[in-house]
Parts: sequence; C-alpha cells; structure tokens
Amino acid sequence: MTNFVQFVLDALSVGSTYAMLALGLTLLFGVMGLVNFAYGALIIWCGYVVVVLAPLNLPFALVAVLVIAAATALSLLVGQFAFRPFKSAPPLTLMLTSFGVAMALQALAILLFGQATRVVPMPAVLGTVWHLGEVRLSVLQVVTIVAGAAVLAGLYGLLQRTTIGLQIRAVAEDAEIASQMGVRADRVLMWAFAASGVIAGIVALLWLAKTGTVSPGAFLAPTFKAFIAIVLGGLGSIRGAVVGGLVLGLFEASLATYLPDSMLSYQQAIAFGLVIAVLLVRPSGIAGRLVEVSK
Amino acid sequence: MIVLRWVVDRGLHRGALAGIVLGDMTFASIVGVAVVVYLGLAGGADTDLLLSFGITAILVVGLQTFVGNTGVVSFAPMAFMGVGAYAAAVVAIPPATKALVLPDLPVVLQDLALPLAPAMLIGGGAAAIVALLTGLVLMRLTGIAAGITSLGVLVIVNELIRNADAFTRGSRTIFGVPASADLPWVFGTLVAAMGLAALLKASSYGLRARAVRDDELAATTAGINPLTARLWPYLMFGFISGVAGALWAHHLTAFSPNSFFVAQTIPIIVMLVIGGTNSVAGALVGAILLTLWLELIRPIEAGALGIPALNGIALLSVGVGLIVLLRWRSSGALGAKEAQFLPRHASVPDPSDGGHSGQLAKEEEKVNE
Repeated sequence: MTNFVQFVLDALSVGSTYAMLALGLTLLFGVMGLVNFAYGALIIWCGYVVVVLAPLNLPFALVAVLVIAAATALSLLVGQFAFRPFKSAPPLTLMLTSFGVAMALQALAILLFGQATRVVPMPAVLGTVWHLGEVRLSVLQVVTIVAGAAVLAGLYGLLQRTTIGLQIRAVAEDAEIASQMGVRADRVLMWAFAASGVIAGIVALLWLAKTGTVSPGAFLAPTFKAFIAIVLGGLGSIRGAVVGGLVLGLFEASLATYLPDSMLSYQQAIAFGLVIAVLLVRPSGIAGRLVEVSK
Repeated sequence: MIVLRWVVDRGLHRGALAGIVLGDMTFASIVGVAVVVYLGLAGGADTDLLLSFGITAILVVGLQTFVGNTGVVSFAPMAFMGVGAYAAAVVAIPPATKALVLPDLPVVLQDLALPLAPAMLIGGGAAAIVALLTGLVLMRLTGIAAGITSLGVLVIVNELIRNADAFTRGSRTIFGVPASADLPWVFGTLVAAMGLAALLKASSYGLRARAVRDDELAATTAGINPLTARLWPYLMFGFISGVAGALWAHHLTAFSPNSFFVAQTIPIIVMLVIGGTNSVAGALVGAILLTLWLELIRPIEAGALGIPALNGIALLSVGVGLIVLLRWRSSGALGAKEAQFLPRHASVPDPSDGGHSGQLAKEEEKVNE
C-alpha cells in the first residue's frame, strides 16, 4: 500500500510538470497550428535569468516573479516577430520556423553565457523531504502538484470565464469566421503567447529546481517531453494536454519502478514507442477529438 | 537540339525521364569536377571539408526524396545515417582492430573486412530495412504527428545504438574504420544519389507520392494506396542516408552515437529548405550555399580578422536565416525546378501557375527570340 501511495505521488508530480509543459504548447497549437520547438528554449532562458539574478541575493518570491515576467516577455517577443508573420502558413512551415527560433535562442544563450553548464541556485527548502510513515514526499513534489492544479485552474478560468478566453476558443475553432465576427486575431494570438509564456515561466522554475543546472543544449529535454505529452493526449485540446502529461508521468514512474535496471537506458525510446503505438490506435490521441485537427 | 535547362517537373516530351535523371546527374558531376579542379588549384588543404560537404549533400538529397515527394517533414536522417555508419563499421573494420574494439561481436562478423563498395551497400541496406520496419507503421501518419514521430525514430534508433554494446561499443567511440572514402567515391556516390532521387521523382512512384501529397482523398479515389505511395520514397530516403552514413564512417574512421543526433540534423534540414524541398537539384544547391556561408562566417566565430571570437554566431545566423527564408521564399532557391535535358524549343510548364501553362512559356520564348 505504501509503495502504491509513493508511486501515485511520484507519478502525479512528474505528470503535473509534463501537463503544464503540454498546456503551454497546446495553447499555441490551438490558435495557430504551431508546434513550438522553441518552447524548451524559453525554459533554459529562464534558467539564465535565475543565474544572472543570483548575485543580487533577492528574495526567491521576487526572483520567481521576474522569471515568469521574463518568460512572458520573451514569448511575446518571438510571437510578435517570428511567428505572427506566419499565421496563415501551413503547420509544417510553422514547425520549421519554430526550429529556426529554437536555434536562434540557443545561439544567443551560447553567445552570452558560453557552452558550459551553469548551476541554477534554487532555495534549499525545495529539496526538503518529509517522511510520512514510509512515504517520502519532497517539498518540490508538493509545490509541483499544487502549481499544476493552479495553472490548470487559471487557464480554465481564462478560457471559460473571460472575453479574451472566449475569443481564443473562437480563433482555435475557426480563425476566419472568428475574424469575421469581429475578433482581432492578432491580439488573440498575442494573448495566447502571453499565457504560454507565463506557463513556461512557472514550469521552468519547477524544472530547474529539479535539474539544478542549465546549459544551451538543455532545451531539448523539456521540448521532447511536451511533444510526447501533447501527441499522446491529442493535439490542440486542453483536456488532451492534461491527460497526455499525466499519462506520460504515470508511464515514466511505472518504468522507473517496474523496469529491470538493464532496461532503464531505454526509457526515452519506450516513451516514444508508446506515442507511436497510441497514434496508430487513436490517431487523434487518447483524449483527442476524432476529427482531423491539423489544417 | 537538346540542351540543359532549369525546368519545373517533367518536360512534356518523349524521353523526359532520361532528360531529368541525366540532367541532375550532369549538374552533380559538374559540381564534383569543380571541387576536384578547386582542390588541384588550391592544394589539398580543404580536402576534409569538401569530403564532408559531399557526404552532407548526399544526405540532403536523401531527405529530399522523402520530404519533396510526400510533403511530410522528417527529423530522422541522422537515425538512418547512424544505422548506415555502424553497419558499415561492423563489416569494414579489420579483424585485428575488431578484436580490440568489438570483442563481443558474433564470430561470423569477427573475421569480416569488406572493402568500401559492399560496406556502403550494407550500410544503405541496413538503413533501408530500418526504414521499412518503421515506415510500415509510420507512413499512415501525416502532418505534425508524422513530424513528431520522426523525432521518435531518431531517439529510438539512437538509444538502440547506445545500448547494442556488442555491435556498436555502446556510448563509447568506435574506431578503426579504414579511411577509404576519397573524392572519387564521395562525389561518384553523390552523382549516383542524385540520379536515384531524380529517377524516383520522375517515375510513377514519385508521381503517385506527390498525388497523395497534393490531395490524399483524390489520390485514394484514383486507386492509389497512400501508405505504399509514401513508403517507397521513405525507403529511398533510408537507403541513400544509410549509404551516406557508410561513407561518413569511412571518412571519419572514429565516431560515437553522439555524432548522429539532433544537432547534426539541423544543417541537413536547413540545406533542404534553402535549396527548395521540391527539387533534387535544389538539395545540392542548398548544401553548397549553406556550406559556403558557414565557411565565410567561421573566421568571425573563431575570432580572426581582428574581431573577437563569437561562439554561436553561426548557429544564430542559420536560425534567423531559416526564419527569414521561410517567410519570404519558402519554396527555396529552385522551387520545383530540376536540371533537365530538353529539346531547345520544347514547351515547358510555367512555374508561376503550378506548371500547367506550356503555352505561356512558348510565347515568352518567341518574344525572346
């Protein structure tokens, strides 16, 4: 029983991280058909913001706010200058564009901070582990699960309870008709990039607290996890992102628990194998709509 | 009189297939001869660079056969290249070295030391088998899902190579492949790869794949099976990339799984976009242009010419360049044009309206005369 509780907690915390990553990504796919390779680059840039701020010894709450603000600004910047001009381009052109953006952001990181891996200082309290009976629970795990729930609730509130959310949903449904109904597509796009940036900032703090380091090449890992999660769950739907993220977390936790040690080095391959298997049975993902989403 | 011209798709005359295949092969041969002449004039200092360029160009041509004909983006070239390189290494490393590098290899393979040509075929064949196994499953997918699963192929193949210690030495560097990939082999292979790719494009296999690319429903109604239509270009993509991998192994002589991953995928895709995804000749043009650009910018990155070293400036320029290119000229340098042998006065499709107006081009020619 304790094993099972431990397993669920581990799966839930990892899954929350992936679900948040997927939420930020799926939002952009919804409004403009963009699968954003550069999403992970936002996360490493957040890492460098923490590194740059470290000598100032600011309280962590302030650092967190600044990181989220920086991620939002950067997301808006690439949205405005790199992606907005492509808003009517086919999804594959957009995907290649985001490939270019990821390269550019990585290159800028190399130019400014060098290739070396930097340590990202995070408050020690996040590493504290509580022992509840035989169950181990770290502060970071609790924070991650709470943040995941908060991000989901916040995004749900934004999409379902506000005018801009209504407009985002309208553009996601049919951009042309939405614009004929008086929705300003460009503004909606920027809102989506802002929301995506806020989520990237939050998930970056949690991701960096876990890895503890940042390097220019480190953007691939979060990007891959987010890709797997959104394809697993179903491209372009909020429900799909959450389901995909949680399933991936559950899957990785069960691999870590039940896979023999000799197979552990195949983890990523098995995860991608799962994606392919799911896509074959359900081409639109576990929670996806059964119609073709891509334009 | 037959002349070499840059024309979209197949010309409307008898022998069009031969015209496009020979045309693209001639173009590749001219590039190969130019490289040899340049090396003759400039001394051998750039030989390594130009060998790498030739092998990279083969990879881009391989990727073009798939992306151009099916319209599906693939991030898998390095997966096939890795398979080709390791397969070639396993059959080509001399037995004495093999006992040291790959002591756990099955006995049958222990004593094998094949020369370059069969090693290339085995490399290409092994990659084509991987393409067949993955393609039977993945060719059902298109669009974004296909792009992401091709990343999956890259990751899966890379992890398999890392873990197949007996055959690949795991994550450690494998070495001892004979350094037999010289200029004639590399550029001869490039010419052959261009010929194969042009043959695929101009043949009924290529036409079927592009019919599915342009309108899957209509093509299916016309009796084309989308899965097999995409599978043939995918197999060609795997084979050519595998051959390039075998050449690469015989050029580098030592490599590790890290030599075939995401970082190496970037230039291949950028080269393809620069030249024009729909053109075989464009793949070579893209390889030439990006290689030249990276050589031009190298002094800046290394800090010569009085400018301080700027690491990452090359990557930055390529990333920004890719965005700019996609924005203003997403069809690349050549669009869908190929080098083709055509009768001097043959009517040709006009690229500006999708290639259906031979009449317009004819009139234009009259004006020119």
